Amino acid sequence: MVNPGNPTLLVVLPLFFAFLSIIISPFAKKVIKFVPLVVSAINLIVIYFIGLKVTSGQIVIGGTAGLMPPYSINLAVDKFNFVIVLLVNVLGLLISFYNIFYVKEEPVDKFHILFTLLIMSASWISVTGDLFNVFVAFEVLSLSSFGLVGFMRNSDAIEAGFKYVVLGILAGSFILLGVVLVYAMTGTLNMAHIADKLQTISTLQKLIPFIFIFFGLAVEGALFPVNSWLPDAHPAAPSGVSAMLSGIVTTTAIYAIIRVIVTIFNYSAFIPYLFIIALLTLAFGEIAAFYQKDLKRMLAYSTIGQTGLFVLAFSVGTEASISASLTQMINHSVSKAIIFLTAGIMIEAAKSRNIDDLKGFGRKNILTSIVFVFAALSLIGVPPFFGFFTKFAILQSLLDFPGFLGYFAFGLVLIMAIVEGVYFYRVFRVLFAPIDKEFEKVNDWLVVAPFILVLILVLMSSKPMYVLNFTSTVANQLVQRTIYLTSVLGGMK
Amino acid sequence: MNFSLLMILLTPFFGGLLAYAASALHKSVRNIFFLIFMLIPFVELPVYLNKTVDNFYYLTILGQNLSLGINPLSSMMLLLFTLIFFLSSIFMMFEFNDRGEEGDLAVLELSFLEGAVFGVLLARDILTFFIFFELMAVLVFFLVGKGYKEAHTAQMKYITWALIGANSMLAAIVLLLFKAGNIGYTEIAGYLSTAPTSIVLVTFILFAIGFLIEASIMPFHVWTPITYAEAPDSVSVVLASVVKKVGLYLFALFAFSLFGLNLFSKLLPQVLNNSLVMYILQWIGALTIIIGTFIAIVQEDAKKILAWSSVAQSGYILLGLSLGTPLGVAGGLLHIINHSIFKGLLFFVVGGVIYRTGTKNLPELGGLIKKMPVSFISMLLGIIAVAGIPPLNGFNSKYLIYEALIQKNEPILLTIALLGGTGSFMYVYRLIHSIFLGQLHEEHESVREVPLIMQIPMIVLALLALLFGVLPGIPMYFVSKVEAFLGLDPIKYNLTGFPEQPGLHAGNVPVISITFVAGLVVAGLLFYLLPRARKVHQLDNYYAGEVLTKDVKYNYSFGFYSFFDDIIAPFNKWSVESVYESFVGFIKTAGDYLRRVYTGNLETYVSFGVILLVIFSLIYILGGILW
Repeated sequence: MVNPGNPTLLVVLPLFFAFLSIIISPFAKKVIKFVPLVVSAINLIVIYFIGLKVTSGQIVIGGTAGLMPPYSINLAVDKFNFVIVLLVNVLGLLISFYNIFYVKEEPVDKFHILFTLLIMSASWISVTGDLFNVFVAFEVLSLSSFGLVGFMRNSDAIEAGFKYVVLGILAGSFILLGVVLVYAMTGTLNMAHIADKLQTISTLQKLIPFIFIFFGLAVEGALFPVNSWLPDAHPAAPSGVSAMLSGIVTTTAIYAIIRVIVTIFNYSAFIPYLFIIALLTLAFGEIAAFYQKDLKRMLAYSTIGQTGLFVLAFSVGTEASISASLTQMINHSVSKAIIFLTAGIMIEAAKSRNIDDLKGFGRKNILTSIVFVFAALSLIGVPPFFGFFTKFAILQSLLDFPGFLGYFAFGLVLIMAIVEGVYFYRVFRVLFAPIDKEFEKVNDWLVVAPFILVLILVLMSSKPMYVLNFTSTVANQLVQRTIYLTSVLGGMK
Repeated sequence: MNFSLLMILLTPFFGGLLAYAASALHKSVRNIFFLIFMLIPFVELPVYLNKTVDNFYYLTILGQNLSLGINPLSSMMLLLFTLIFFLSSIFMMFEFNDRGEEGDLAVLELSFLEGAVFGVLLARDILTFFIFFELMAVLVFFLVGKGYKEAHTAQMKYITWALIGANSMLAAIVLLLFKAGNIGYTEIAGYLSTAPTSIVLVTFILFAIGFLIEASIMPFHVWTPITYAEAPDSVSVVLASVVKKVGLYLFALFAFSLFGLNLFSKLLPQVLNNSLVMYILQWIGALTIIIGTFIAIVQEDAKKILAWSSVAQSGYILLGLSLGTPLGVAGGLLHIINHSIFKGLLFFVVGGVIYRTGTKNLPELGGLIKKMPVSFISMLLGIIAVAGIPPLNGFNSKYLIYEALIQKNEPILLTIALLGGTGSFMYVYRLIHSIFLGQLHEEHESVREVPLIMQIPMIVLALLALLFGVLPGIPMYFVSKVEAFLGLDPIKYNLTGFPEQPGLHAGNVPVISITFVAGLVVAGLLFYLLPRARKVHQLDNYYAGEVLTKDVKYNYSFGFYSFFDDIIAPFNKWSVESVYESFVGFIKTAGDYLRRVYTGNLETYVSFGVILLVIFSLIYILGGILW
């Protein structure tokens, strides 16, 4: 009897469905639309069973090939993994639902197959306990998103797709290089085993493999200075994909970076550099967003800025700050997904990505606009929405950073909050301005997915402590890396 | 947990949601719900008027208790604001009558705004008030957007300033929480009494920035004229009478209750018997008065005159409060009440005129006295109040402030305040002349008085202004309770005036008023009964041989005070607005350069990555020197 709480199911089942869809797609095109939905739903069931164990403090290990780690590739789910994979699949579920109605360009079935692979690879990175797996999953993630970004096949999409391909393959190569160096140093690919072996190696020796892996993941994870493909790719992709990219892919990449820094390399010496990189990401992202006239480009830069914000929080290094960072990650993923989905609806109706062309949309489509406004207010951090509490937690934790840099970061975050507020309010103003043109009718089912997500957001806003307490237990478990090591390596003793 | 106070807070929110839901049925159902829920706080409030209740409800978030409570300052303002919101909602029903869905949203937003204002007033810790304060800003942003042509510029100006203020306050809140470990007002006050000077000063300045932006004090006032002028009229009333007062309420509460005058005297140097920060604030208040007044005089838009007048009157309130003496603070608090009443009154009258004529541009108006008599009388009472002349309420508060300035030996500030008083007479006269007196424009022949129900707000506020003017004891009852709460010795008063006390001569206001009115009556009698008085038709005039017909506009209206404009023209060149514009220009250019990092060119992107790797490889090769 298969254990429903086995993390390998999260990888195997979607892969199975993806290949099945490829085989049956010539015969049953209509059915393929529902495959990502079904896949995420099944994943969520598995996650539920995993969750039962994880929330009580256990780490769920999934072995393969009948052997225990470190002799086999394994998957390991602790609370951090659990949060990320839950996020991936909940968003995946709702975005797939949105995509059923949104995607009209041929070949529709290939889109959904690629999307299934995207969900699968994002879930895979989130639960794997093996470093080479991270590389493989990363490659699958990149390849599926290359296809999805260029899906519309107009000039924008092709240019964006090309830039993304070049940088993405470069990133993948560097990750591979880094992993190879690590293997050379330690003789193993299992994360926990590597962590164990790396304890005896000096900080300086660890730098080069680390920096290669970091660089590769940072490309996907929207960190300065390698995030430049993002402002082109996210807008050019269909809105469901933009939501996935901004909400899920960036978050998974940052998860991977955190896992590499904290658990595998235990690299607290790198943290000050990460702080500076995050500051630059935040500043450049928000400032660039301020100047945009294209809605989706503005949102892409906003993703960059927000990523900078939560990586900044992470790089303060205290447990409270890691918890704040994780909460902000959740807030950003959910809010940004909602915003991209509703932006997709608006752009469909206005047939233009320019913000000024959306004038008056809110007066006719109140529900969509209210969903957008709520999500944006949560992203900016206006009380009483969830984003306020995450921002407050981040500000509190920033004061813990020693010296002048802490106060500087504090001030910069507040100033960037003003900038962020202004460019989002600009969109609100345009939405509710007097109408001067007709809007196209869009499919009413499109608004269901963002609406459900906004309900989740409102639920979180009404009980912020519930989420905040959970994330502090996550941070607690993350920082105590020995728990992870002993759970996974338990088989070896 | 005290549910009835919580209900006061929640009533406006429920009311708004119910009214919005009812709008699906019919407009009048929505209106009925709207008005009923605006009336309910009147019933709920009187129980709490003299009590101080702390921590009657709390929520635990981030390890802190968010609590609500009520004190005399809050209850005084709650009562005042409930009245203003109720009257404004009557007006809103008419104003948004034929604007369909917009009206439904406006009803929802106004109710929620009331709830947010109540939330700020009922907060007992620094996080709660901030949460409701931000909510206020969002709602005002959306409400302003429903106004006139330039409303979109007003929206962006408003929200930029609101965000600056909000983030400034957030910085102070996080800093205080970090140092004090608790967010409650009493705990923070306790921490501040023993805190180092730098912390006290920094947090006070950060908070003051937030409060004074909302209260439209110089140099943070630049959003006010355009926002008040371009907002819908019912919203302008709420902005001037409520939102501004929230900023001043918070200022008074923080300066006296949380920080405390003793703390300032202890930590900061004394200047002329005032602590330094209070002295600076007095001068800021005086500056606001004089500049606001002078700019109001040369405006051509009715609502802009009122907006600049609000700015100036805020200066009076700040001046009174920062004097710190019982007399000054009483003057400031009384002026809060009085200003809300008479400024609301004036905005309602102007709103009614716009409702009937469709324009707020003064040169296009004139001669409406015959067509809108009730509005005329209401405005007349309003402008007498603004000018600070008995028997209206403005006299009492201004009198207290002048006396307080004399008591404190501040001749320059006194001169500025008096100049502001005279100046205010100039601009309000312009207002009433250009709208009601003079020649009626032809297109306004068919203008009638506003509907009866719409007259209620004007009449109520006019009567209230008169009542509070003749019997200052009524508002002083609340003011003295508040003074006691803020830790000052309340000044003595009785129903009809002020008995003899240090700094104040005995004054019996009804007697002064009757003398004043008697004087007017005598003058009127003399004017009408003397033999040379003769009633003449408006067009019966000498025009050097030209023939005058009704369509010729000879009314003196445009450039009313152009001679005054010429006098102050050299000073007009210094403008706070232009400082901000140049700052914004600088930021724009800087930002523009920064964003060009994202060149769009793939080669540059790859080279960024390579540079990053090179930097770290160098670190490695150099043996981790930068570690």
